[in-house]
Amino acid sequence: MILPRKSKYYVAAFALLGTLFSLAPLVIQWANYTSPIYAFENSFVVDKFSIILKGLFILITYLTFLLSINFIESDKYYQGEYYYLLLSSLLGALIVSSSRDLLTIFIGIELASTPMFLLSGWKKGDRKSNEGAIKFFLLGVLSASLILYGFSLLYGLSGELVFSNIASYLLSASLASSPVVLLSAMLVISGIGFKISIVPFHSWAPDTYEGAPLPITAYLSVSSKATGFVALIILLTKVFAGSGSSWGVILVIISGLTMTLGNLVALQQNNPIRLLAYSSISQAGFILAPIAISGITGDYQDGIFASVTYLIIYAFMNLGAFLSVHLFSNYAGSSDFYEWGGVARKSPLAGVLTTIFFFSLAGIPPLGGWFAKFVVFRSLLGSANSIGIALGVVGAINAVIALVYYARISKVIWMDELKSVNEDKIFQFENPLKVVGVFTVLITFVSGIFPGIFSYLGEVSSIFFGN
Amino acid sequence: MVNFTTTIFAEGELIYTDGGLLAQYAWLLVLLPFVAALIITFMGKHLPLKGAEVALATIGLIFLYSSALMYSHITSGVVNEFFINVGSIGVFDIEFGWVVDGLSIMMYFVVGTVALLVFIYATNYMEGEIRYTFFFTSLTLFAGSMLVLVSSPTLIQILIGWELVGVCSYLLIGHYWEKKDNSSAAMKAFITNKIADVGLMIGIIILALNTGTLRISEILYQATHEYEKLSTVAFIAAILLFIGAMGKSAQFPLHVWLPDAMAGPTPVSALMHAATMVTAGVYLLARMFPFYKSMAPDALDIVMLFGVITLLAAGLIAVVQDDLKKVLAYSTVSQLGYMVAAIGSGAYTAALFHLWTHAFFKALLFLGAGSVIHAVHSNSMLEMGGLRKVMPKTFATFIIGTVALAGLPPFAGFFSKDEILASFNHEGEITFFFIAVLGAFITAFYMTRAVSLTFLGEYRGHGHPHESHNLMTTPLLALSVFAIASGWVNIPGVYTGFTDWVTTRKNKIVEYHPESFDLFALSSGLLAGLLGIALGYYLYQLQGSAETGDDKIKIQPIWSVLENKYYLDDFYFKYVIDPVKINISRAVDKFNTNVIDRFVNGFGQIASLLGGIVYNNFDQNGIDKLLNMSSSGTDSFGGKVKLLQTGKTQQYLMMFLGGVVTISLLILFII
Repeated sequence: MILPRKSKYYVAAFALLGTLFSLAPLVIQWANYTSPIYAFENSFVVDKFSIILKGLFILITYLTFLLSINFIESDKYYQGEYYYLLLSSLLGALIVSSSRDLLTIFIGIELASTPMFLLSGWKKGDRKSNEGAIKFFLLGVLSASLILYGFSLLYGLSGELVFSNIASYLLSASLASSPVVLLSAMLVISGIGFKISIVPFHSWAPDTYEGAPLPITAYLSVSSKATGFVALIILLTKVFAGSGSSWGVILVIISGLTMTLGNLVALQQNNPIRLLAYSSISQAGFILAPIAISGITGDYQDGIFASVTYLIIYAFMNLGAFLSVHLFSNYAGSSDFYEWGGVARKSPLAGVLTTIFFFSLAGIPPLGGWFAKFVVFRSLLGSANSIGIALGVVGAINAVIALVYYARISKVIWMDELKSVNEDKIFQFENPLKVVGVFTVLITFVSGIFPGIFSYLGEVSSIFFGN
Repeated sequence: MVNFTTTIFAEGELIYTDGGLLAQYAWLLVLLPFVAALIITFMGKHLPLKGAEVALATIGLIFLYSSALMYSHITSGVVNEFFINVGSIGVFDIEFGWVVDGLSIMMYFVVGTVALLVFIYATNYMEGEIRYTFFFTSLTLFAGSMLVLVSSPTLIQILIGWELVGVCSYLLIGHYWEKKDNSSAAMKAFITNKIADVGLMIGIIILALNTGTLRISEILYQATHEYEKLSTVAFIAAILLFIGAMGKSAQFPLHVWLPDAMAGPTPVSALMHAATMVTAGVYLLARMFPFYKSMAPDALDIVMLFGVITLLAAGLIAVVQDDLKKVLAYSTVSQLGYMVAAIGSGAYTAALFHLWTHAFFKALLFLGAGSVIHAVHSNSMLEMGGLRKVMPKTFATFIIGTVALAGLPPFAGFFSKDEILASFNHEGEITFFFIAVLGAFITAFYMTRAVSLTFLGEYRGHGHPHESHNLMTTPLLALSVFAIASGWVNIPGVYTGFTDWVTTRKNKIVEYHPESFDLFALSSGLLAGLLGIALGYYLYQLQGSAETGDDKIKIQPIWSVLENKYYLDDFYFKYVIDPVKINISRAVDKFNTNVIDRFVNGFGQIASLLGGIVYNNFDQNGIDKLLNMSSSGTDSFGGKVKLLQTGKTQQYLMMFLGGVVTISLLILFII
């Protein structure tokens, strides 16, 4: 912020290097890991679960920076603030993944989302951007207050802040399924439900996604969503574990509604960003499903494993999908993907990447999205519970519907006729974007062909649940 | 990482070996096409034959390797499987690998042989077409995906191969994507298959969860030894796997994609209809046969029922088609019905034997049709006729294929169809037996019709058709040899080598196998075939001609029902696709914008209303007045503000909290 304008480009370099450098402590922590380390009177923990998620958050932020470089340079001002705000949000996400008490997790959640209010309204002159940002902000405030209210009930009841103390208090006083605790759980689920945009708290997402700059949209749909999910997983399994049978049923219904509504509305979209917004709502339903079922069966370890596996694979392929949309909408200058006919022929690399990301989102092997769906279905069917199997069937129907709109985009960009206005334009595919594309595509492939890399997550989630 | 597991728990008196190096390196069969596809993609355009030579060399190697395996299997019997562990999820390991046994070696050989001939043919057929290099990439991948599928020792690899085949078919069917119909046909194939694939995936997960393993041989072992683990889910899993098979093997009512898939170039159709893709479903049922036989006999009855429906329903549609490739396409659906019905009746060998012979003569017929289409530049038989004189090689080979399909001795189709009929008869399924005989009659009839319209009579099209290039006719000649002789490997009472090949597996196959010809089945089938040919020849040659032949059999309303394919496509559009795509989806969209968004906007309005109240009363009246009144003395001011501020703030807080509680209650009660 203090640098003269000419040297603004150092900001980007510094932010990129800084983010990358922050991976180093994680690697060291991982290498020296023996058992979970607690700090600040058990309110902060370093375990394998948090290390992996921190790595995920840092990588996503790094990729978002790469996505942003060209966009933000075309903009004459506010470079420093842009990176600063994103880094603040990253810090929030990092805090969430390690937090073990009410205050820390609340600060983490809000630190992760508050900068996004500003960033989503980045295009100041744009009416859509303003509308989206205001909606996002108003609902964000509501969600924060809901979470806080839920927390205050817990605190009032138990007089404790640290999760393990609250949980053991609720257990010893056999309050786990008392109305107050359930109300608190509901408040927390609806508050965080807004961050992860599950039905019926999803309606801000398409408007905000459409108005925000594309890198921010990508970040919102990936990192913010992941932060919310991590917070939800921690709270549900660490605090509300005893009342799983109640919130489990509600989350199952929400999960089924989320995947179905997201998919059906996505079928109607011809704006690619709104399409991705609804598709990522639908994907959130899939991520939610295993953790919802684990509430009913009590097998949290399996639920965490399946949800986090899906979350990680989703993060990269969805980031890739946003990259594709970014490239093509910049090129064709149209927010209707039916106008994108044949654009893939202008840049086969971008076309192939797009097809891979969209097919992966649709769950076609051997791409990562396939494995993610497989893990979720296994978890649902393996619950040996009729509700779980019913949700599995809902998911199966949705997997077919989703293919229709994912494949449609790939079909349009390859097979439809090239619009004459696009014939002479030069396709811009800057190097930083190529790095993002290649990196995410590699992860998408590797996670589908060697899903073994996720098997350690089983161990990780057992450690997480054990401590 | 490679884990050579050779714990063989085969039973029975089969004599086999572990196949030695030939089996250990069989992974080359699967890997080569993918390496080749990469090479063609990156270097293809700079090579003299634009990548076709890489594809040809690869498929040639696969052919040689599979022939060597076949030879070694025939002479000494090979049963082995290899696993590569790539990790575990929850209770079971995820493994890839390859299996070499009778069933898979037979499939390697079929895929290798048919693909090689189709590739040779395609180098000439596709010459000068757009995306020539890309075509060979996709075709190589297509063959490779099928090899992934048939080499699979685990269900998870089957699933991957299964979907890969679907993706490649999507690319190939939509090859001429400039025409909208073609890309729609590709989408249709892709999505219809996906419906079935989801069924397969759920079936696989159910099996794996209950047996604790994804290894097929272990699941089959449990299915034949430890019944209790699978007993509760066997039926549902069997049905789900069959739904998967129905998609790929185009069984009624999921067959609708296959005839439309004709939009692809003819070599693709030949490969797809003969060796790859459509045989996948039959292969899956055959692979899982011991499971079906021992745990889910009820499911087998359902399999048989659908097979029989398919063989009759598709055969009848083939009669009314004017597009030569569509006749063959419906014929494929019908023949797949025979195979599936055979599996359903418990005749494992008969089904695979028909798969084997059908692969060769159907590839021959498709390539022959391609040769004709290449010459007359039309698919419609109404614009053909009289090609016997100008295309003698194509004509001769097409006749061989037709006779083989119609089931006349000593051609291949005779033996395989006879064995299916014999096993129906043996099982006492007399109704199904006669439907199958009727199917044989219909088959012979529509093929005679097609030959008459295409090759006999006078030429009705434009231009001057001529015989195709040698690169196209040589594969035809090679395939005719198979169409004649491939049935001789399984003649009851004479030589039944084929039975031994495909039953040499890790898990014992229990099935009926005829020791000698069933004379009743043989004479019924033969009579039906001869009658079909005679009727066709009578209607389209002796009595009438190409133009008038159809008139005699145009019995309304049956004819229009058939022409409209039993209105099945219309039904799907009207009652499945459109409701989801238009009605339900739009309704949800409306609900989403009108109800949920309105709720949110309402919240926004309440908030802005609140904001207004706070602004007017608190900010303007409070703070501003505070500033204004700061001059009018602290004492009186302090009291006023205190009153004002506490009152208004409390009100504000009450309203806000009220809102939050309302929403929480809503959530509690609604959900």
